[in-house]
Amino acid sequence: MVNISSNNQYITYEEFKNFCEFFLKKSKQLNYNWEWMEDSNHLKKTGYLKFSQVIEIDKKEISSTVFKFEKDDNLDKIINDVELKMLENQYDDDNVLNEDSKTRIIWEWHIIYSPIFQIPVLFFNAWDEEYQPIDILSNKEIFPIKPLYMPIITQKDHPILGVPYYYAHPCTTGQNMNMLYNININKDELNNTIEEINIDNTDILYNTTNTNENKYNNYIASWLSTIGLIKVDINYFI
Amino acid sequence: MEGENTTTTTNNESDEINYPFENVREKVFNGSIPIKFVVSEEDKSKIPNSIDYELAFYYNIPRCSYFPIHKTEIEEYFISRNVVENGDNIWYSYKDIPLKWHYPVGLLYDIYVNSDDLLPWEITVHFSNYPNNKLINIKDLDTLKDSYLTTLKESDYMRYGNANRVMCLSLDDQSTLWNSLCNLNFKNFWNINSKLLIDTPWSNISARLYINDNVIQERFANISEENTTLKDLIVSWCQEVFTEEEINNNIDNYKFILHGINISIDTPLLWLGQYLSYPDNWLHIIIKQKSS
Repeated sequence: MVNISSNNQYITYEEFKNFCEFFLKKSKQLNYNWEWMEDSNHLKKTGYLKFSQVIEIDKKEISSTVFKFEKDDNLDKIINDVELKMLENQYDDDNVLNEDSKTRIIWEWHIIYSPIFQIPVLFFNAWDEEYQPIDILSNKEIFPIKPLYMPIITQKDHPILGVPYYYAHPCTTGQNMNMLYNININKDELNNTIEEINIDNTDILYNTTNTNENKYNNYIASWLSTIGLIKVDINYFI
Repeated sequence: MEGENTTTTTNNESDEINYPFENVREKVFNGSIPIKFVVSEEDKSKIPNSIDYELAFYYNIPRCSYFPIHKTEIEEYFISRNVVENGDNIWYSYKDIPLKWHYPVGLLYDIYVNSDDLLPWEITVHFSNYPNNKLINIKDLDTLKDSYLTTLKESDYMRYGNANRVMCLSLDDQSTLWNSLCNLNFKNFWNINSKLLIDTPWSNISARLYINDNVIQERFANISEENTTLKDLIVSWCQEVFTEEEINNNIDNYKFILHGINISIDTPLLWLGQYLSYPDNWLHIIIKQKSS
């Protein structure tokens, strides 16, 4: 269905959009609330993927280094209130106990195409219950899952919304995607591995990786799993 | 010895022939804006009663520099007059718009100030209520240095498809580059920065367009030809903003601003990139509608 334009790890924005479409379809089947967003205020209709979640943590896990400042109107641009209420209701419906020692963190994850690096980049923000942004760099233990290797994280202006977000540096993304997709280069290595573990039926392996459709459609899910900051359901790959 | 001398002379001569615009870079680098800093409304109550004059700090800031580089001078004026104890939470705004500290000062001026406004540029200085929703957190000058080097790497990547030129700078070169930007030493700066720009062809132009509140940054690969102009870039990136017809017929309604200069849309793109890039090696071009 989707053909990658070149023989390397780089993708164009159009390819990114197609991969996102596939990812959204799969997410819907698996009941994950990823959405395609386009900022109506922006002159260019550049889109990105968005996922929101509310995570409950122990209050003691978050230090007092939450930024101190007053709420302002611009917050509406970052999280719209309706959406937050929706998330809250969802949370209440779950009948989770509101213990005093617990607090809620609101996360937003955005998958954005980088025209510089020609790969997706993960942007994210976290807010506390009063919708104040959390200084994530001083609170790395609040991540919903603990990555095996913590990527380098910096604050940066969101390329589309123009407000501060955090992002995982894309420095190893190219290499990772190259390893995933440049099967030809790794074919010898792969064959050796197959021999070592005594798999006779190598056809199975090649059949699942060789067609362009299977190979690239899962680009977003594969890429996201290499970042390690957000859980990627195994069912995306089955 | 004689042979060496001859070679040197030839090189100098050919340098002049090949780079007749060398002083353009120096002029752009040394350009500055006179700024008047006044205390924000919410911090005004902190001004001691003994001060019975309009409290304002006047300072000339290089267009290519960044506000945090001049933090010490700015905060010192207000600390020494007992307005605040420190400038830990300092930030700046213009017409209620928080000014991004990681943008060059000249870029901020070109984005927000109308050409008929008078100088000095009046900026509000805030000592409290840092707007974390709008501005990236800054701890110290190293935060700016990191941000500058990241932007530099990105521009390198754009031009050459990798960031090797920046990554291969020695630590000494890196600090010379940064320190000479802070101290406004053109010669030292360009000794290093020329290594990052001089090789052609470029695989892409490192440019960003600013229209109203929007930033447009895409890929534009066709810059190998000498006759590729700014117009080609605008036509390619701004299809959703204006139609090609509009660009052809009504281009006079728009102005294209770089370092405070109205530049011709027919300027060769590669020349712009080599001579009018900011010290982060990006072309930051503002598109504005001319006021009728």
